[in-house]
Amino acid sequence: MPAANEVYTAITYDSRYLSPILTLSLRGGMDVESIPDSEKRSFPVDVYQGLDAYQAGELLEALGCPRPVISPMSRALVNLWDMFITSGMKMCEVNPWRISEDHRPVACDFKAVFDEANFKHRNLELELPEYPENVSEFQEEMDRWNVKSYQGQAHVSELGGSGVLPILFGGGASTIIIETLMQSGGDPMFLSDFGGNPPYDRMRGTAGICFKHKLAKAGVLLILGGKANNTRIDVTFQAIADALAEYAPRRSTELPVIVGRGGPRLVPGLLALQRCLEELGWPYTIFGHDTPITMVAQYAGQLCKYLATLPSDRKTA
Amino acid sequence: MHAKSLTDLLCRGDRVAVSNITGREAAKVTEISQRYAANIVGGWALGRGGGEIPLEQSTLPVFSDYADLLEHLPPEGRPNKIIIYSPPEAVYGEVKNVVKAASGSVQTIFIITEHVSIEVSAKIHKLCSSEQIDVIGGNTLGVINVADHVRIGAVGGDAPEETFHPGSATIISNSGNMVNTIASYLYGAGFGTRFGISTGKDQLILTPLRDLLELALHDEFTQVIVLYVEPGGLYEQMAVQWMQEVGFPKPIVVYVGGTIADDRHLSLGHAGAVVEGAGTSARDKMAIFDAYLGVPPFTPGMTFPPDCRPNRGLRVQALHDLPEAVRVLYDVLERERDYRHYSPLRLNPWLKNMGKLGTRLPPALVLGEGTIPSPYKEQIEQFHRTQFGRMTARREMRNASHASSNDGATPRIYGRSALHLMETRSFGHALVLSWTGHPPAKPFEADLVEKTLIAALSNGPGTISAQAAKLSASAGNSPHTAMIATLAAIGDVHGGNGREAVALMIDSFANSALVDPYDASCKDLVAQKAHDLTADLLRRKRAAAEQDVAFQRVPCLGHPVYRNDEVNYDPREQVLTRFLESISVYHAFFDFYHQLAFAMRHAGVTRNVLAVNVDAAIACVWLGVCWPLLCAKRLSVERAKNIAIAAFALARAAGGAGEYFDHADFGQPMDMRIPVSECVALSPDLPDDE
Repeated sequence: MPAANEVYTAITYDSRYLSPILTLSLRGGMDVESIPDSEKRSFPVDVYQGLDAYQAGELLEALGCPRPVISPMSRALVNLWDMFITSGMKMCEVNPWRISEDHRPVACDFKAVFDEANFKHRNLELELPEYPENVSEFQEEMDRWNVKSYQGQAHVSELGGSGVLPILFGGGASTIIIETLMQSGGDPMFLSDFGGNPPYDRMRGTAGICFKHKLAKAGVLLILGGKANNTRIDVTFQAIADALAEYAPRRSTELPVIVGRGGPRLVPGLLALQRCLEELGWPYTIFGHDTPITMVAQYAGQLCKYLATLPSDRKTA
Repeated sequence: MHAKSLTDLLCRGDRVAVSNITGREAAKVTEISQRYAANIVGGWALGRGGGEIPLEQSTLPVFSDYADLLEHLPPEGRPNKIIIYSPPEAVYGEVKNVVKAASGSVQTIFIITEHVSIEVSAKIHKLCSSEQIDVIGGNTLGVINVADHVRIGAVGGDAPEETFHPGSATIISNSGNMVNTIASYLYGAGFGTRFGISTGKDQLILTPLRDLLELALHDEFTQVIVLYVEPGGLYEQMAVQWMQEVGFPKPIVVYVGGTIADDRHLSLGHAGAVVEGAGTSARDKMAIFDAYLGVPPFTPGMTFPPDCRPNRGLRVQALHDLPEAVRVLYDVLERERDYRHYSPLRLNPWLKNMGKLGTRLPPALVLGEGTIPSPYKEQIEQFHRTQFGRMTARREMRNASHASSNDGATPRIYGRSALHLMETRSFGHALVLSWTGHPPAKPFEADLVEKTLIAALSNGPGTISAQAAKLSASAGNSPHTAMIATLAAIGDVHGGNGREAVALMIDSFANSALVDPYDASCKDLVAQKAHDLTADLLRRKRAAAEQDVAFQRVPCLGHPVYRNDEVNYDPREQVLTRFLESISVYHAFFDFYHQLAFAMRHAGVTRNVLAVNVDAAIACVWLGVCWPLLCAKRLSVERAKNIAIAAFALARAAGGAGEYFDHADFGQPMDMRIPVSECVALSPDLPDDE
């Protein structure tokens, strides 16, 4: 549509103000990062009181918005805020608004991200468009399993590797471990975070999904977390051992297993896993929490890298 | 009133109230926190008002809501710290209620709950800021003040004192687990913890790094601040800007994780660990810290010339370099470490069995033997001491078997060719292999086993198992049905007592010095065990008499047939004993049962010398076979117990077939039926309408 002006707007939550902010620029159609600071304005919005037309108008005026556009654009921004806050979004961006010759703003491209933790967006009963995503069956099954309960994490992100199968605990630890595996040649299959003290059934199911999809082709199984605060090691490791026993027959060869963990009821947990690995006859090394997770991950990565260089008939006993 | 120093966040004397205190997580953490800190005054949970949380030596009251809690607690016992464990949907309501009812008495709210929406987080921030209440979280693990021995939340897990020792390092971490993990690493290098703070890593961190650093600045005991940082948010940028402005005097040691999310669209474990623009990626944060610190990133072995001292601190590139960096920093700054000990971090395997793979690894990947630290070493030893026999792991067994295999050419029993067994071994040998998974360790064991099978074949037509076979024959059944009838007539008091005998002997000898049951040097031990058991039996018998309850008898002693002489023997047991004597083999379990029978008479547990019956003999023979395997944890206790009854059942089923053949040839159909005239009606006849 023909337009004399374009406007960029976004509403997001901002870590500097710990509140929503409205960002505005008259340089619509551009990536916000590439708009110079002098040509954009951000304004924290009171999350209780919301955005009013007066505030929006002031902001537009400060940017040098043509006067006839200020009033209709302000009203559009108030509507945008109302939509944002009533539908449980954590970000919405209109880029650009095009302003018609009769000063009517038209949102020409719109992007929003709903906050999964906010129930409001579920009330809308929107049929969201399905974007063509290359999501694996594994990722899909784990995502479905993850949302079934809020007890314990069941978070994975596919990495496409073919080396280490990582069963990891802790949001921070899992990030560091995957980084270390990548640096040491471990070629991790996915990123995982299974902390949050999952009960037995939850952990059994989570481990089962990992093993069902990934065990057959893994180079090394790595079960690793820091020193847990509340996750019970006996419960989680027994669940992993039981899932492993179920899916181990899917492998034609033994799989080296590297373990590192600390936390409540550690010894019964480590011994349960050891028992399972002895039964399977798989080679294993188990570390306690006195060995840093990064060293364990480095060792697992190097082991996996070395095994990948062996001919397939020499990888096992 | 907002906190001015770290101790304002948490110190001894604070009174904590817990929301949703009866929840799975909250109840467990409350119990441990109360043991560690004793700072919880109570909690509330919807619909659970009036209840109690049981603790080791006391209870904590549960109220229906926060207002109810305030109403019932005395003014001096009302909480100044609140910890929120409610489900995500309830968090906002809980915080609003606290703010509304607290009227200035609450200083800090800790939100443990994960998956709180960002809108609610922003509202809580706004609401609490206006009331001068600090909020830690959401999704914080909590805070620990080590010197004061108090914590809020689950920092330190079940045993906070194991990880957290008083010291000079304050840990501020985006990851709850890393608070614990880093404190553990630091202690190994001689540094204790002052405060451990889990900030939470939701998109909005309601007490940002800048504010926490300001509190640490005003804490006189914090000498160094260790930071664990993830991508997402501009918290570090703001903190560094502020540190530069005020000339922050305390050194920091920082580790930034999450570079994997810089180059790809990847969802990390924490909701707020998301790259969302300039300054929020891991690499951006590294650059921000490097610019502030003014020294290159730390690597072990690094030295610092006098004009380039790391006065502002260091950034490490590997998590395991954190303690070394803190140590270097203290040396450079000429500060004393908190503790004298120093154990460098290393690969220290606790348990390992790399099997054949271990022999083929290059030297760099071969690990030496590790050292399991206390108390885990003792716990593992204790487990092995008290755990007798093999602990098995469950697995899918539908189409799998250890006991047998057949590749189409060779049937195998536990991997050994059945054909070879047929050609070279006895039935006794094969049976030991089939039931224990291992061939007999001594040649005479197969003979002993076969002799027990003969002994158990039959004990006359009057035994109830033989009667069962005859009844089945009389009814016109096939031989295998009669064998099943025989088996169905074996129970705890007929044939099955061997299981109890094995259990009794395992209880007496498990984890003792007895490893080889055929070693005659164990005689003294056996005598002592028989004596100990007798003394215990006597005590139990007297206690049972005092309480007028039945005394639980020793299994497999006495027999209804062999009981009338001064010294009684089951002749079948005697054959086995004589056989052992003839080959000069001592048998600890036979000896034990004989000594037990005599000792019981001598001590007055019984007036008779009881015969060691055939069930005991079978139990002794098979336990002798199983014992070395049990000691080596290669056989489960459950299997050893069950083998005793299986041995009797196997032989007696064959004996039942013998009774069947005899009865089927010579008996009349239905001849086991008892005529009506011989049956006794014990109930009176009653009219139909009653």
